[in-house]
Amino acid sequence: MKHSTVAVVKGVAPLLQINNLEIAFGRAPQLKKVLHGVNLTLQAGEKRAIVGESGSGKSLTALSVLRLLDPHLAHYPSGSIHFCGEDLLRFNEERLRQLRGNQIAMIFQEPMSALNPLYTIGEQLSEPLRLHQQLSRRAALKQAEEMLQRVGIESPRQRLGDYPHQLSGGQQQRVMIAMALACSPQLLIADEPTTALDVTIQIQIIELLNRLHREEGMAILLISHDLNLVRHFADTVSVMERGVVVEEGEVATLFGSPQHPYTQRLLASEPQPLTTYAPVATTQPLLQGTDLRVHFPLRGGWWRHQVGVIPAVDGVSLTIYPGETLGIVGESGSGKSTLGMTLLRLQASQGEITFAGQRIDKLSERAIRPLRRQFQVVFQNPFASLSPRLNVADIVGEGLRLHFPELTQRERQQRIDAILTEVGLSPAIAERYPHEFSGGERQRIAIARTLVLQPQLIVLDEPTSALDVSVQQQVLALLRSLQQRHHLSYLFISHDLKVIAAMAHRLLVLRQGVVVESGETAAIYHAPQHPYTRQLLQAALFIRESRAAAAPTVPAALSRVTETQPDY
Amino acid sequence: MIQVNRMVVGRPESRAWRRFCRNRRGYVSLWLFMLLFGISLFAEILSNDRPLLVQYQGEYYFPLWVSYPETTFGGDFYTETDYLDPYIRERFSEADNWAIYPLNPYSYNTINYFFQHPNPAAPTAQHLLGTDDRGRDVLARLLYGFRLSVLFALLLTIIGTVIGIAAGALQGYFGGRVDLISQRLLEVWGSMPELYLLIIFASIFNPSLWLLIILLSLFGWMGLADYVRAEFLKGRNLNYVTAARAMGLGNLTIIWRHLLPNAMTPVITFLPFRISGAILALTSLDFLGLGVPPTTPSLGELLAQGKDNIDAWWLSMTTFFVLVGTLMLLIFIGEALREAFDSRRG
Repeated sequence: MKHSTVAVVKGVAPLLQINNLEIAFGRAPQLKKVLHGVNLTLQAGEKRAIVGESGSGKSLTALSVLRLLDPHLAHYPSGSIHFCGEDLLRFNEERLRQLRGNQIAMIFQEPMSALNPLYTIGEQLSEPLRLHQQLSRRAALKQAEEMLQRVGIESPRQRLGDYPHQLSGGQQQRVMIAMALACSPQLLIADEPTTALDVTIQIQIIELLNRLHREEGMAILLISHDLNLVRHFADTVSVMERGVVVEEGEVATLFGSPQHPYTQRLLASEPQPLTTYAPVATTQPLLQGTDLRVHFPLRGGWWRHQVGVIPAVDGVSLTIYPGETLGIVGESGSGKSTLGMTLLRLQASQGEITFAGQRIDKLSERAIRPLRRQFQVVFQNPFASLSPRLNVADIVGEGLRLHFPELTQRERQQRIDAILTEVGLSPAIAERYPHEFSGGERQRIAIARTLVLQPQLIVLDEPTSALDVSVQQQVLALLRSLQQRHHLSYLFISHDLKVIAAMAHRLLVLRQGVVVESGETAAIYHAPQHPYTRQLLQAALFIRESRAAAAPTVPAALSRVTETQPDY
Repeated sequence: MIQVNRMVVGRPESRAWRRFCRNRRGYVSLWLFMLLFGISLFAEILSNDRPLLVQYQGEYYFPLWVSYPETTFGGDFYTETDYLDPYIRERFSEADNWAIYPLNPYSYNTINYFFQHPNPAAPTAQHLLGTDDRGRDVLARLLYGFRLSVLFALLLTIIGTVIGIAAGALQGYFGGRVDLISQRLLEVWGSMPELYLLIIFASIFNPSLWLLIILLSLFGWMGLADYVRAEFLKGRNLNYVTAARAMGLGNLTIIWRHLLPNAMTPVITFLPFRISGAILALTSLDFLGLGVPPTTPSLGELLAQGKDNIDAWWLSMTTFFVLVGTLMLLIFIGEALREAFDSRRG
């Protein structure tokens, strides 16, 4: 069924045809070319995905179809974009306005920032209807209600009067989709529509798009970096690298036997589940948390007194042994990052924390400082985790100055050089500043900063979420090799079940501050006990309900996991 | 594997400096301002009523540094020599005697008793920009007044900036209760009527430059404290600060090394505007007669004279141009700085 749409429309003039499109930024003569002749053909009703890493030009291509790039900065040196036989690059602003939202619609990554916070959902939905179809206010609102119903929003009449902030992220994206489909466009461009959403919401949105595609029959151009999503959703796919389409074809063929080396590399860089596991058997846990609670006060009333609590972490107990990785997985708002900060004593909490046999939850801030060397942290956003005014040597050397004051200048320099080499960077970069590095390199610097202190435990808070898949793969490999070499313990926090499967020996599934399931990663992936875990796994790995019922919910790769894990 | 864009190499400060240099107007303004200020620092040598060097009857004299009684040069009095006295000048031109006078032979409070015209006198060859209503040379007063204004403004800015940064940093870093209480105190402090206090204090104490500095410093730091506080509030939740805490660094080190350098942008950007504000404050207070004592060279006092002698255009116009020029240069510098620290520009 999947490929039928493509076959049917063969021979008809394509809906969208991009020929040899080039885009350059800047002012002449210092133009910087970012697209180098992109070719793309889209038939009516086709579901096409464009995949590529950041900077590959996939979003630029999509934005240029609607001519949404800043006209003062973006230039089109050559090429054409034909839509229904007309060249969009020759359209004036007036004709483009008629086109936008009417025949070609677009949805974006961040639904919150795409909706105007000052207007109700009803006002925002009915606006394009009144603009493009000259409906009366009443009729437009009526139709808006039907649209909300169609995108699966419950009690749509009440929602019409709501403001964007009153809706959840998934609901906001549904509203965006409803708005985009208001005028029954022939082409829907979806630019990373699910990237900002939790996995369980992601699958709902994708299923909604699928259903709407079946009902409406518009063509969809999906921009995504998520290969799994593309595989699940699209009929055909174009792979972009550095401003050119390097390969295209039907999803099954292309993913089955990729021809271009870049596609092969991209496919190979999806995290593979952990297959080797041999932590040293030990009876002495490194870190132990018992009945941890973090309650944020909820204030209200006239005097802003406490009227209740928000339990961010609610009675979590966990143990980490030397040399192992404990994964913590959960959706946004599950309290996983708060839990990480709690264990580092960076967040006030109740409950007992023991590190290497020593109670640390009662220690004062001053008393705990000397111990901090042994438990370090790496954050998600590599652009915010390095101070922009310090160079690499200062950043990495700062902890050395504090915890190893006996080192001479020369010894300190040697340690910095050694650690930079170990994380795969050249010691020659020591004098450079963070802004000169890419995301992956910055994350390596952040790892070097923690590693130079010779810690026993590192809390990794979504360390690869902001990185492209191929870079993510490299950083994960680095973390694994460091763990083996230095016998490190990791507390690995992530929302990405594939990454967790590739890193964690044992797993805690967190939901609204409570552990719903815990155990060995392989075991949980094989046979999840809690319904929430099952839901999470299905959403993340795109396992269909029907198949899930028939067979154990495990992808083939996971069943290879060899279990040499000792019994704790 | 490391690809570095050549345009963005180097310390953030040096990149900002490069961006600053690219703004020609700001760059030229900075050098012009430095040049003018540099010249004004040597006002004693350029504009003074004593000769720099005198050779009199085979001996050298340094009237600029040493005070000689008139009898030294053949006069009648034991008081200090008036070097503008035609009789003394005559002595210096006799035989081998000579004297090197400064370019403008008047100091800021020199009264030329030997001048023929009634005061205030229009510009002549003797007084290039005329004299004020007490017979003092306007050019000299402008030169000294400019120097005093800039020095005063620099001192006031430094004091205000230091207090502002300290207050803002403590509020922003510790936040919570500290922030809440000090914000309320700041509001109370800020709502005190500054001008009335100045008038009251001017009538209690002898007006002096130091009194002005203290009084203006008491109120001048609050605006900046708010900006620094906002930067700290924003910065203290950033990952690199949490990472520094996780490393075990103390509060002061985190403030000094991690937060302060990243909070300096508003401070530096505001510096030229603060300086021009301080110059303006001194000028207005002097204009109102609440400022420095009357003997001190002051732009505001010259403006007030210009108002009182409305037909003596050389008083008001020259002061006006000096003030406008100074403030404009500072504003151009400030504009260029603001653009230089805007990280969105390459």
